[in-house]
Amino acid sequence: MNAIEIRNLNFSYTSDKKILKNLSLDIKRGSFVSLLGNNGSGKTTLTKLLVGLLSPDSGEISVEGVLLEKKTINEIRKNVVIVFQNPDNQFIGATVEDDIAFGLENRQIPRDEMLKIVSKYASLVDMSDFINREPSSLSGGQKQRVAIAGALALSPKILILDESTAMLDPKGKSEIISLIQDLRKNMPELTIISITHDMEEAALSDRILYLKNGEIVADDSPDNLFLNEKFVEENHIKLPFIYLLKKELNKQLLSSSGNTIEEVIKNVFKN
Amino acid sequence: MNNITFGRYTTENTVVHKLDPRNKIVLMILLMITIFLPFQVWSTTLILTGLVLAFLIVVMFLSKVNFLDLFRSIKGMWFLILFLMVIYFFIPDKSYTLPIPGTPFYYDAFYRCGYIVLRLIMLLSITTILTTTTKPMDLTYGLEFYMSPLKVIHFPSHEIAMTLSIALRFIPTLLDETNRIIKAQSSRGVDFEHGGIFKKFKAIISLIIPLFVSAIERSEELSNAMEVRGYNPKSKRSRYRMLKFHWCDLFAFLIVGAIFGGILTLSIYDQNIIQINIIYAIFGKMPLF
Repeated sequence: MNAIEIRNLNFSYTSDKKILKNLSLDIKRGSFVSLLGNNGSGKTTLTKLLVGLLSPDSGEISVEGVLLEKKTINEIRKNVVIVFQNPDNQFIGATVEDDIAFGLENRQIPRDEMLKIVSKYASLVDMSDFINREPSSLSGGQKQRVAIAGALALSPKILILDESTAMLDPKGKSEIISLIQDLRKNMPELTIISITHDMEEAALSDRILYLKNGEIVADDSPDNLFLNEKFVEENHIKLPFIYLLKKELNKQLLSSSGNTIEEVIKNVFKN
Repeated sequence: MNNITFGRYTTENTVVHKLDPRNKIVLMILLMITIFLPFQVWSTTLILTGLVLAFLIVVMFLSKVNFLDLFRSIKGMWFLILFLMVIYFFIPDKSYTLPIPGTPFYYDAFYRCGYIVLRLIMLLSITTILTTTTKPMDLTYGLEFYMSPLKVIHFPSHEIAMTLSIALRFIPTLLDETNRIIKAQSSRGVDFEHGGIFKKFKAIISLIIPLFVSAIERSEELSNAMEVRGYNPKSKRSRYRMLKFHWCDLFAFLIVGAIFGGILTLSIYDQNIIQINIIYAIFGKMPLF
């Protein structure tokens, strides 16, 4: 079953430049998809279309089997949440707990339940000790974790991370990446779409979509994409360390399967 | 820019911090009215105001208000004091005080000026107590509570409270931004500290425009984030924060109510039946002047 189905999607802000050109795409439920592409390639626009923050010029979008229309926007927003890039601009509540509760308040969830949900998701993102803190006393990574908790508290089926690690320092970035990996283990039904410029992050996903001038120019697994030398060169992709390693191993005609450095090394020594 | 600490919420755990914000708002208003109740005899006014001041000082100790900050902000009032002094020296009320010997001025100026400054200091103390012991967000919840009856006439009390709370939430963020822009513009050669009013004004423009642009961009992103999480100002929301009325709220209400009620009664008595002169009552004779 597909979480997202997009058919012949067209979008433009002004009449002279098309942002998305006849885009069609299926995303499987429970998969972790990375959306790559240069600035201005239409990645963020695509996510905004998915939740109805923008409406397409033509084409169809269905999310979890529901066709996106004016009438169904609220229903679709129950299934899709977005974590944006700037941690400051999406922190709505006065404190961590208020912020996690914000979306729950909008859904009119009774207070007793809210208390349980807030503490559950605060501990999921490891922010239980900071529940009374104000945003100005938190680091960027912490704020972003709160944003993820606030998004997950709404029990969505699709989580979109729109360059959520772009403004974070390396520590914050690795915190978020390990959180995503935990989510994949604990919530296998959750579809994660991550927009990123970070290749290390993209290497962890099941599938990479490469967007260029509003079109998908590549749609493949990280293995196939990053080991495709022509593609990597054409798009000036800086290979993640693990693929540099795999490339070298392949040159030495050694097997290099596996997603983590440990796995790759284990497989090398097996042979 | 970072020294705007005066009146900011402090994370303490005092009795005053624990009071219900709705209660604190009412108590604040009662105390403010008390300060401005009139009496015919000036010594009576001074004694009763002094009593309220003593009460306020006790409360400030209880709520661990930073007195240094308070004094600093009082220091800023010197111009007002000077201004009042000049006015009262030249337009004295000759009815109840004696002239200062050898001058055409009256003692009245000192009394009236001192009294107004005292009142201002007390107003400042009251609001300081409120803002240092109440989270801004709780204050907006309190205000929303009092505005909610106005919903009947379609007054957007919830929207106003939400706007206020977001504004409060973004003050530190925008202050950071301001500092960043000041540094960025200074490094490009804009001088914010020297020069006349016109030059400074020009410098400030180079601060305000980028600040506005970024604030508007932020608001756009914020509204997206709110919308994605299902916010709709017109639909109903449940509440995460609950305001609770504790026994200490009742206690505080009784104390402040007694002060307010007592002084109000005295004032009405004083204005309508017989003028009250506490010094006369205690010492059995009229004061000097």
